[in-house]
Parts: sequence; structure tokens; C-alpha cells
Amino acid sequence: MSAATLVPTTAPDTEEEADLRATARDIARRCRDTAGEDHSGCWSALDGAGFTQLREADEDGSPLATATMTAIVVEELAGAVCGAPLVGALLAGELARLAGASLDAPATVLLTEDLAGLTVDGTGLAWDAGPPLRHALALSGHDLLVVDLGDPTGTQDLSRSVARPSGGTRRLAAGPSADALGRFGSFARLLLAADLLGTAGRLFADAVEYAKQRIQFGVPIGSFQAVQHLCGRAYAEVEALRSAVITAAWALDAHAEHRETSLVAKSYAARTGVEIVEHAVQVFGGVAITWEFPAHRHLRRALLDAEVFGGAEATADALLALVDQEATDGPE
Amino acid sequence: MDLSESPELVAFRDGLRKWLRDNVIEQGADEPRGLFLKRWHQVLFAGGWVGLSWPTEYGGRGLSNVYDVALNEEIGALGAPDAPRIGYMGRAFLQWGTQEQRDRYLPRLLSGEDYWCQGFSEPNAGSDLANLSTRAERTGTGYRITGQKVWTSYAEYCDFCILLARTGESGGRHKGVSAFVVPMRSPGIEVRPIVATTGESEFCEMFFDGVEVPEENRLGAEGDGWPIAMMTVAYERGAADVGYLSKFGAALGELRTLLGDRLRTDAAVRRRVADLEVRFRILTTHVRRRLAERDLADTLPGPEMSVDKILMTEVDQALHRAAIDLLGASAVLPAESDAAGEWMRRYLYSRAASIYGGSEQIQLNLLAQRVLGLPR
Ligand SMILES: Cc1cc2nc3c(=O)[nH]c(=O)nc-3n(C[C@H](O)[C@H](O)[C@H](O)COP(=O)(O)OP(=O)(O)OC[C@H]3O[C@@H](n4cnc5c(N)ncnc54)[C@H](O)[C@@H]3O)c2cc1C
Repeated sequence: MSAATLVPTTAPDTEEEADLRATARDIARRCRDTAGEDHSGCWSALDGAGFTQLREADEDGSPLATATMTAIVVEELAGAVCGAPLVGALLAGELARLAGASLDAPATVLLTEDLAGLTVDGTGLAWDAGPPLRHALALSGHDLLVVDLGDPTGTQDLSRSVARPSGGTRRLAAGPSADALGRFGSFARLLLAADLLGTAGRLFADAVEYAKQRIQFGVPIGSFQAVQHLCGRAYAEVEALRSAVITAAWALDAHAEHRETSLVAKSYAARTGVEIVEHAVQVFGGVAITWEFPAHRHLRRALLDAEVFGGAEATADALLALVDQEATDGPE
Repeated sequence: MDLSESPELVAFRDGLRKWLRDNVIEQGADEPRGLFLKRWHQVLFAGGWVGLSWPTEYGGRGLSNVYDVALNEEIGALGAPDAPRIGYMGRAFLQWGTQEQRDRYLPRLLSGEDYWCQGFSEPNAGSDLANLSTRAERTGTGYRITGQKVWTSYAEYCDFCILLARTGESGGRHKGVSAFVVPMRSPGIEVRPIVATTGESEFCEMFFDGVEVPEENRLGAEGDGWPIAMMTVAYERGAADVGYLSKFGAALGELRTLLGDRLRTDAAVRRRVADLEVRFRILTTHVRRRLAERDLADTLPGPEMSVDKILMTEVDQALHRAAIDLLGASAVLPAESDAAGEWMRRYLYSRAASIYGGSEQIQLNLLAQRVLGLPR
């Protein structure tokens, strides 16, 4: 299976986005081919390309890269189930920037115990806290803190660890405004949706290639209509998810309805991202039930991603609350 | 159809419940699941609860098939370890075995002294089982077997294998396939465990390099392998035949307990679990009807068992997916090998349910073509 094979999409990137995607895909390919359990080389490559700092502030305070570009990088690395803590670092960069602060060292973010959102009292769990990250940004009352982290521990998502605060704390800045926190939530949901798109979409693309090659009953299994429909269904879901991610990213970049679009993207991603991986597993058959084969890494990552910054139902409920509110208050 | 339970069956349930309360065992910290289930099988057998619907002459109890549903239900209700799944492999002996083979193998299979694996699938013969290429060549006194099997569940712990091998021409599809009893300690067999997505070594690769078996180890006549295999997989598709009914019942009970108050206070949680309850009961009622039918008509299972497999898979996958969703962070956050990761391991294994024993797509093909007679 070549890592470069891609199932066609109908939403081409701009030239700049395509360049960025190519660079990210290159790092992802090296991760897939060589990283094994050690992703320090992936981190160095990402850092070298400037990808860990995409959301930090340039001179006028705006992010170095658009949400659209950031989501592209996240999607590509998720396709390799890369273990470098890219999403954690991007979230911390965004949070610092929104608070008008800058980071001395890369960090991740501190979440509530159920992973559903940022902590508000300085306690909780740092997610995506693998090496080299040693700190997390944490909201505590009106302050934004940098907390030191203890040693990371593994999760069911083999690619990502969590860590607990180890005691050391310093104040970085005043916490972001309510409006900025709203933007942060949308950005976080976008990245998780992009991560699900990458994790699911990549394994699905590989499953399609496999269906063209695996022979049973004297023909490629992809010639059976049952397998075709399984793939057709999953493809429709991948593309719908891609539409949702593109839209949520655009909304953030264009200062449009980012809350709604990111809730839609995350809710759909949490449900269908897992389903797409399940469909891909089905196409592979027995081989996908082995530890050695990467399918379960995609499945594990998708299941954990689904919970972070709100599961399918919680995000759908939040969307409905917004719709209700608009119906009573009129449009924003 | 009369589904009422006889006074004997009611008394049987009572006795079983009492016995279970006193005799349930727990898996040892380092005990592999396969060995634990074997130990449990032996404990259950000693209590008289294995082989309920099997002839007494082989150590069974000669009861009707519906007793197997009762066994599954009571085990599930108490959250005891799964009812033994291994029995279905012996069914073919009742039909095709010689008296000598039955006497020799069945009592120890039912008692759990011997454990059996199913050597059907090969790298190029998964869904397309008839493409199998492992060969059994005639020698003066028996056969010499050469080839490779894959995905053989628990082969590393097993004493015997029911093996399919080609005795006819190569490429002969389902013709020219024969079934053999192969002692797993025979010279020339190499077993390599494969680690599954759960982190446990559930299944194995098996390599046969000129393994000698005597003629008396052939099951049925030469060339009878295909119907023997089809009968074995038909039994494998029954949720009571493989003890899965008990497994799901226990898991559902455990999930309800874990959800505790949320089940009463959170309408969304309640709806999800209520839905599982209905699906699970559909499976149970269907299996009970099936086994009652088996008792009444004295029929053997056939392609209609794909209905059972589809229902069984649906409960397995819906139950474990819902559990992960509802337990949320507490299910996905524990480290991979942590005991608290158990629901995640069960979920991952549930994804295999639509692959082993004939994939979901193959079951649907069988129903459409073999049962409904739709054109191929
Ligand atoms: C956990 C586990 C335990 C197992 N235990 C055993 C065991 O003890 N003994 C044993 O012999 N085998 C065992 N198996 C093997 C199992 O029977 C095979 O995995 C199964 O038959 C599928 O074969 P495959 O994996 O080669 O997939 P493939 O046959 O390659 O199938 C891949 C995909 O193609 C689809 N497909 C194939 N043919 C068709 C068709 N004609 N129409 C529509 N779709 C089709 C399948 O549905 C699947 O989605 C086990 C498998 C697992 C996962």
C-alpha cells in the first residue's frame, strides 16, 4: 500500500494550501514508515517546518497560519496516527495568543476530567501531553496559568498520553475574554474534527486500495457489491466530514458563525469518524484484528478524539441550544 | 409454539442459580483468557452443567436444546464467566464420526479435559474457504499434511484440531476437501500466536510440515470435509451454542450497574440502554425459538443460522459501542493494558464479530442466495 495513494476529493486546496499539505504529508509518511513508538523525530520535523507554532501571534497579533491551513496539517499527521503532541501544542499556542501572551516553551492544555473542555479552576488532566511537552496552559478563575506536568501516562489511544499537574505553577497572563474563549472552543472542536477526518480518512483510503488487491473467489473483494457499498457509504461520510471541517475552518478565518459550524463538525466527526474506521476494519477482514496492523491505532485514536472537547451528543445538544437561542433572540 | 417452561426446567434453573453462587471462579492475574475459560469449563462440567443437550453416553445430559438457553440466561444474569463455547466443534462427530471416534473424543471434549481448535481459514482462504490449499497426501497408513492455517483461535492452548485439508485435486473447490482430527502435539506442527487488537493472543498461525495422521483420524469419508465444515460453522453461528448469550447478558448487567444513577436521571442514557435491552431480548427470544424448533423437528442447523449470526453480531457491536459512548472518558483514558481498559478491549473484540465465523457480508449473501433463493 503506498502512503501517497489518495481517494479523490472534489475540494482542491489553494496552491499555498497544497504546498503545505505536501510538506505535512511528507512528515506523515516518514512517521508511518519509520517512527514506531518513538515520535521525537516527528516532533523535530514538525517544529522545523514551523507547524507546532502555526497559531502563535505574528507582529500584529494575528495567527501565523489560518485555521484552514492548521486543520490541513492536523489532518495529514492524524492520517499517520502520529504521536507527536501537535494538537496539544497548537491549542496552547491559540490559547496564549488569544490571551495576548506568548509561550517560552511548547505546552499543551489542561482539560476537565471528562475531557469535555478547558478546566476553569487550574486542576484537571493535560491531554496530548507526550514528549517533549512538560507544561500545560490552564485557566483558573480570571488567570491563565502555566502548570508543570508530571510524567505522561498512556491511554487507550496509543498515540497520545495524558499528564497531571505536578505542583509548579506560574501566572502567564489574564485569561482571554469570553468572546476569545468562544473562539478557542470553536478552534479546538475544529482541530479535533480535522484529527478525526485524518485518522478515519487515511485508513479508509488504504481499505479502498486493499479492496482492489485482496483476491477471494478469484476476484478482488472490491468487485463484490457488498464491499462496494461499504466503501461507497464510508466515502460519502468522509466527504461530508471534510465539508464540515472546511466550513468550520473557513468560519473561524472569516469571522463567520464559528460556533455552529464547529459544533456541527465535531458532533458529526465524533460519530462518523469512528464509523468510517469501523467500515474500513470490515473491508480488511481478519488482518485488521491483529495488533501489528495499524487499524486499531486509528480506531483507538478516533474513540478518544470523539470525547475531547465534547462528544457527539453533547456537541449536538450545544448546537440545539444555539439554534433555540437564535430563534428567541434573532440572529447575532 | 408452546414456550412454557416445564417444572423440570424451572427446577433446573433454581439448582443452577444456587450452584453458580457458590462455584463461580475468577480469572487469575496472569492467567490468559483461553486457559481461564478452559478451567471454568471444567468446573462447570464437574457441576453437571456442560453438554446439556448432548447424549448421556458421551457425558452429556440428554436434555432438550432449550436447556442451553436457560444455562446461558442464568450465567448471564449472575455475571458469571461465559458458558463454554467449545462444544459446537464436536457436533459434527455425532453426524459423521465413527463410534470409536465419538467414544474417544467426545467425553473429553465435553468435560473440558481436551481443548479443540478449528483449522479452517488460510491466508488465501478466508471468506473463500473453498480455496484452501493445505494438502493431505495419502501414505501407506494414513495421511501426511502440509500447509498453513491462520486465525486459529486458541491453537496454542489446544489439544486437538479439526483440520480441513485437500485430498482431491488442487483447485477442486469444495470437492476433494476432507476433515481430520490432528493432535496438536504431533511432530511437524508449528504454532505462532498472533497478538490481537485487544493486546491478547487470541488467534494463531499454524504451519504443518509433513504432519502424519493415521487413517482413523479422518472424520467422515474422504471428500466429506465441506459438509462437515458447513455444519460446524452453522453451530458456531448460534448464540447459545457458543455461550455468547451468557456473555452479553453479563455485560449488559455490568453496564447497567456502572451507569448507576445516570440510568434513572439522564434520559439519553436511559434510551440508549433501553434500546440495548430490546435488542438483547430479541436475540434471546430468537435463540429460544430456534432451539425449540431444533427440539421439535429434530433438525440440524443450516444456512438459516446466518440470521442468528447477524442478530448476535448486532447485539455484540451495539452493546460495546454504546458502552464506550456512555462510559466516555473512564473507558478510553486508562492505559492500554490497565484493567480499567476492559470495556475498550471488549469493544475492539466486538469489531471481529462481523468477521469471524463468516463475515457479515457472507452471512447476508447466504441468506439471500441459500435461504431466499435470490439469483446468484
Ligand atoms: C478473532 C477471530 C477469530 C477467528 N478464529 C478462527 C478459527 O478459530 N478458525 C478459523 O478457521 N478461522 C478463524 N477466523 C478466521 C475468519 O473465519 C476469517 O477471518 C473470515 O472468514 C474472513 O476471512 P478474511 O479475514 O480472509 O477476510 P476476507 O475474506 O479477505 O474478507 C475481506 C472483506 O471482503 C468481504 N468479502 C469477501 N468475500 C465476499 C463476497 N463474496 N461477497 C461480499 N463480501 C465479501 C468480507 O466480508 C470482508 O469485508 C477468525 C477470525 C477472527 C477475526
